[in-house]
Amino acid sequence: MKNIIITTTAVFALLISSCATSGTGNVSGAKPYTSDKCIVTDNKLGSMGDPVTKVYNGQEVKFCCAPCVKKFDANPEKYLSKLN
Amino acid sequence: MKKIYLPIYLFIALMSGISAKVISYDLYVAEQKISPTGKAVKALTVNGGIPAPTLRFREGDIARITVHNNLKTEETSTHWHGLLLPNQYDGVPYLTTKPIKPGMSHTFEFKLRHSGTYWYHSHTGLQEQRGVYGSIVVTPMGGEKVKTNRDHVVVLSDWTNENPWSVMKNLMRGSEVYAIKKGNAQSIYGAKKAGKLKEYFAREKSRMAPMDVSDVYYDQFWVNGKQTYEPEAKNGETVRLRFINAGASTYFYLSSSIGDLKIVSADGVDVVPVNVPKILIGMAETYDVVVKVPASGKYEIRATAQDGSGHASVFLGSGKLQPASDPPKPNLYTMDEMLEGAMASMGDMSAKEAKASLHKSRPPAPYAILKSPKSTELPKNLPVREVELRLTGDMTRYIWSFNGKTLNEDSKIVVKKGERVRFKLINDTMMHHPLHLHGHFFRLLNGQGAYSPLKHTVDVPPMGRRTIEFEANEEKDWFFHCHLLYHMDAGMARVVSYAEQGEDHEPTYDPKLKNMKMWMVDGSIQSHMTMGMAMLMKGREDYYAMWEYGWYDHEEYEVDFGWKHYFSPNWSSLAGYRLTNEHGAENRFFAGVQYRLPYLIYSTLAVDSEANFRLNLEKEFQLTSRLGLGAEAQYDTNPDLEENFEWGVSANYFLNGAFSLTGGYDSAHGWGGGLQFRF
Ligand SMILES: [Cu+2]
Repeated sequence: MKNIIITTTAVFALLISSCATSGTGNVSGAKPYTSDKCIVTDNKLGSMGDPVTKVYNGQEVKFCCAPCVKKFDANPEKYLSKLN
Repeated sequence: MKKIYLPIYLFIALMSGISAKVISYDLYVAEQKISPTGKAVKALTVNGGIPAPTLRFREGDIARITVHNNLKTEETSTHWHGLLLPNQYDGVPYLTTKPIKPGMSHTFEFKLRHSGTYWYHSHTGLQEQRGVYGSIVVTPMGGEKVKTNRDHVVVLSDWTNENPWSVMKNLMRGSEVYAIKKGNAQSIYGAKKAGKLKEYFAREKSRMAPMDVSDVYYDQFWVNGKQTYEPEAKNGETVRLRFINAGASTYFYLSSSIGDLKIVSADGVDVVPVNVPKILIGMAETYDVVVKVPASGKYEIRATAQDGSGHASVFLGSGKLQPASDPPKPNLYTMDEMLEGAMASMGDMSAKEAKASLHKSRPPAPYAILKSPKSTELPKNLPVREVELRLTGDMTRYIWSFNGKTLNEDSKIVVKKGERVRFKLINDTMMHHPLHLHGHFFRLLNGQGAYSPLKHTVDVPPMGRRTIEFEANEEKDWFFHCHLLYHMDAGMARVVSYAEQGEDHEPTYDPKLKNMKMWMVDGSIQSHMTMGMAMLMKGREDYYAMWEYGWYDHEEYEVDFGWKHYFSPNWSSLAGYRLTNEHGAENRFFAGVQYRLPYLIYSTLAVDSEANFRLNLEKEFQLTSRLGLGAEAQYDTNPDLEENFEWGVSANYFLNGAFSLTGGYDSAHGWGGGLQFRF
């Protein structure tokens, strides 16, 4: 009985933590991204589904949605200048 | 000398006061059956028609309009959209003006302080959708600057045979009915056909709801209450068309077989005349457009719904028909078009790129080229108040808000008289929102500097940004809201409240906006079982009764009475009491959480008063727009149960808004099939 409860809870916790970290966790070693806004559009992270994370030259950056990554890649310096 | 002049001045001043003409109108709001599609349905008419009559004035006239409410049970109201007038006549029920009770009338009297194309509509409930809207034309003191042979009003609107409250219910329950009817429903098959299968599953993985460019399906789109309009206009003549978007929830693309459209005025205010191939016009916006009818032929100016589900047409001239064409349908499987529109709105593009974007097949609003002919700069020394407003919402739950809070949760934006108020509008949603400020014109900061155009309504595209500013030169309370009618009623509104009313002043607004409640029942009757849920939705709360009853080899039931609180698209909490006759189980209390997993899998974990846990997973696969596959698995830790693990699969075929066919297997109740219903 107790085992079943523990297993169920563990499976559930695992499921939750796996997706909680998928979009918002830090990529080890990179300089963390501290804003809660998309670096391209300024939209709130999470407002267009789970945010997308990427590391560019040791700097972690986050996007509200996948198409924004393309925008960023076309002109990274322009968007990175927002961080300062 | 001076002594002689003073009486003359007084005399002149007095005369000009007297000479202001009073123009009177009587408007009668009534319920009437109309049958635009052949089927008789209830509508609301003004003076017997839809749209309501055009109210014509000259700048400087006094308007005296008496609105008679001939409805049996409903209140009504009329807002004079875009006109600067004393607060008490603005016509927002409870907030500025008393609602007009059934059988009563109300007289509005105000001076026409400026010229232009405007409109009026009910500000009560969803009456605007049912027909209470009409146009206003105010001719300038010295006549129109741009002279034309003809001058016609074109009121655009959307018509549904469905009761608008039933529309609201479908939106709140997240029904796919409108997307299916419009042919915009997303599915695995549709994505495969569009070559966007990867994007489809990437979207599901990232827990993003499928997007659509509009919320509601309409039976018809109208110009002046009909699908076509042929005003007096001969070949070779110039025509001013005063487009007013009185639609409840439809953006239109205007395009013409003549060629470019010349915009001469926007939201009633003259702009430097400018040619564009197409105009995207949001709800409540107006554009005065000038065209020259070519020497021969009959030409079309077409207003196509932004979602591509239909259009209405204006025909000019006579002879061989030269039809206009519809813009291509939106590609809903990719966000690229949306992102381009967003980038254009945030000044991220050069002026040249922004202008070029207006030549696209589905262009953004033409703001980049709107320029005031004279400076609109505000006095330099005004203290600045900057307000950041994020446009927020949730399509599935149908809660729309600013900064995550509905009107009911945060009603006021306080401003002080004499301030320069700047709204930074950031759209954190995947829909367009046309935002309207009552009682003020604002400068739309679109890169034109001192010549920024003045508007009363601004489109904020999906993921996009706009900045507007105005001088707080009024008093009392003014409404600021999304002009998508269903968004406004779902919470996307604020009151711009002048601080001079005191710190503890609380604006009053329609109590129905405060506590919108919706009843609904979703369920199925099948050969082996019945299941479903009856629910009262109110804001972020659901109060529900959920049943499951099967008669396969033995009778078994489970009935939950519960309360669910909605925190976010991913998180809800629930609590309630369960009645059951399942072997080994007893009636019990339960409490838990619901969490939305990647790939839009809904999981529920609850604990009950017998110290048992239950985990439930649910997922719907949309195979085609009408055919869905549902899968459910449940694990209950109760050691006395015969089966701790239960599961089921079903195929569902969508027939219409109310019914689907269903069939499948349930591990507790066996095989079966029947009908799903939604009321
Ligand atoms: Cu809206």
